[in-house]
Amino acid sequence: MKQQILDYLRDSFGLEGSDAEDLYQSYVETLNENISKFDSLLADDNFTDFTRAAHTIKGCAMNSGHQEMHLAALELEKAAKANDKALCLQLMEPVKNIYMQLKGA
Amino acid sequence: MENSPSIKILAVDDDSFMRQLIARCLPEPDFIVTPCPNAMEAMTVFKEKQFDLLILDIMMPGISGLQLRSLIRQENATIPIMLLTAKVDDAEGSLLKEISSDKNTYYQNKKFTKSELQSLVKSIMGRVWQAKQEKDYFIEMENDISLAGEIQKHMFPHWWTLDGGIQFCHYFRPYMKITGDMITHFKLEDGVFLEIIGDISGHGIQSALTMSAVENSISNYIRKTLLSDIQPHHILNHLQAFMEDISTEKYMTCLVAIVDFNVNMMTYQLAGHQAPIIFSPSQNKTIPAKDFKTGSIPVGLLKGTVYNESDTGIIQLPDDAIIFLYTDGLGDIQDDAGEDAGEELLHQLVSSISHEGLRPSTNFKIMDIYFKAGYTNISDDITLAAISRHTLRPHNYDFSISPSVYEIDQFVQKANNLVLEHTHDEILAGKVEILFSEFLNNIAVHGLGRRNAKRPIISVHIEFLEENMMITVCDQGKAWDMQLGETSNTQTDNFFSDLKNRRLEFHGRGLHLLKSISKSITRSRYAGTLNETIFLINYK
Repeated sequence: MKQQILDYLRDSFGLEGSDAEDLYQSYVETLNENISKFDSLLADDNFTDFTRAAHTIKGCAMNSGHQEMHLAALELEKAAKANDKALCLQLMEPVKNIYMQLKGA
Repeated sequence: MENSPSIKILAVDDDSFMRQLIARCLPEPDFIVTPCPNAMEAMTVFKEKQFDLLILDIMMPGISGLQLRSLIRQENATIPIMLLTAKVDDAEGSLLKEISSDKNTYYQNKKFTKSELQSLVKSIMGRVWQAKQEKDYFIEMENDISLAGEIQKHMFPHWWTLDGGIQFCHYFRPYMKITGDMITHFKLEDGVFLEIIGDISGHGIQSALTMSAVENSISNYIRKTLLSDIQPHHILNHLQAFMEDISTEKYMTCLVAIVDFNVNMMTYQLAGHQAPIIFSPSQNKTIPAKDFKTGSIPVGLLKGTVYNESDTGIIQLPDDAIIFLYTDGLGDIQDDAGEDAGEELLHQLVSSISHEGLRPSTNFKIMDIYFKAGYTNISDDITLAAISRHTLRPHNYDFSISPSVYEIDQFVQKANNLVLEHTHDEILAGKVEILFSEFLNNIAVHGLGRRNAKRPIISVHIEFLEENMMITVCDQGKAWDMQLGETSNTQTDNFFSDLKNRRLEFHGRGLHLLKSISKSITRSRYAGTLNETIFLINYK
């Protein structure tokens, strides 16, 4: 999965070596930063910030060629926008799982 | 992008991944990206540094990208802004509408490649630079035209001249900043003057350039010709040859007249130009148009045209004749309904304004009535000139003064002597000297904004009446638009306020001084060009 992202960064942005690695790390940090907010934001019914967090993940995933995360975050953003807490709870799991897989890679 | 300066970009996104991505997509030296994590910080940086382009994320916590755009627009209405968003993917039509509500805002989908982003940035900046180049070009052209207009003014005679008992004055207003009208007033010998008024076809730069060339050609012709040999048809033939030489498609209607005040005779030839209006104030009548010879076709209209002496007309002038010369721009002025002013109005105004003789302000007063009557739609250059014998009643004096410190000082001394001679009152002479010194220097420095210029001249008329003296000063300085206050029938403007403030600051004189010397001060402005200030001063 990491290689897929690095390939995308190379093909789309001409980034290789440490430049690509730095951006990849930045992507992972962005995911971590936003996913770690999910539980508390949802507990507070703070759908505005929850939507923003999902939106940020979606945007970064798009530009990292991380299609799986892009689609999962897109669905989550829609649910958050609709203030659908149950659906958010359900849809944030795949986002977390994809992140864990990436981290594991 | 070769040889182009680096594009300086402020990139605002709350997400560090996106900031890094943008910076990496837009590398130096072609681009210099300043990344910023939020709107508040962005505003601070924006005010501190110069940028060519802003890239804003729309969805940011706190102040959004669209709100930030509004803040930026309060500081800079035109800097290009690129909004990044993934939201348009969500088919939000209202967002697209909001983005496009600002003509200098561009949209970029948040999913982009390096080449897409670079290409959009370069395309935006290409458009901006091209627009700037065009704007700079037009500004430069405007400045050139303004300069050309200023130079043209110097080719014209002074707006009022007094030479050997003959006075000449003219009003001109270019349709644009430059004019295709020309006027020449040249003394051939004592009491004999050459008058030429011409109107180059069309208006604008080509006409103005042709006018300047023609004016120069006439000057050369006069220099090289024995003055007593100058005849109207000679001048027209010279101009015809000149117009053919310069191969212009322009032609010129023209009136060439030699006015001999010694024998009250005007010898003239019309080349497609309207006849002058010759008015006698004492008889209150004008010489009918039918008394003028029709003349020939405009100069330069047909190749090979020859102007013959047989087309020259001779008019016997009344003693007090005022000869008005004008271009057809005057007849073409229209009111809001599109009605031409026509020539009849000019005839009426000539007799009503100049029934007491030609004054420096006469032409301006005539034009003022045109404008006040609603004839304000001007479609051509306008020139109105007048020449007459300068007959002064006893105890009346006229002066023409260049707005230079030296000439004003010379005049002030002259005025002192004149008042002393008439009134034998040293105190009054001193007061008048101070009044002129204050007022004329302020016209030169503040009204005209120059200290040692030769033009536009200031005219001064002094009249010693039975119980008081009247001083009339005409200048082409700033406008007047405020009430002077205590002094009756008096209007003034910021000029007086400036004068008051400035003079009080340094000497405590100025306006107070003028008011204390004068029984009344009356100010008027004619045709948006000429200020007429009348001081009434008691002898005691």
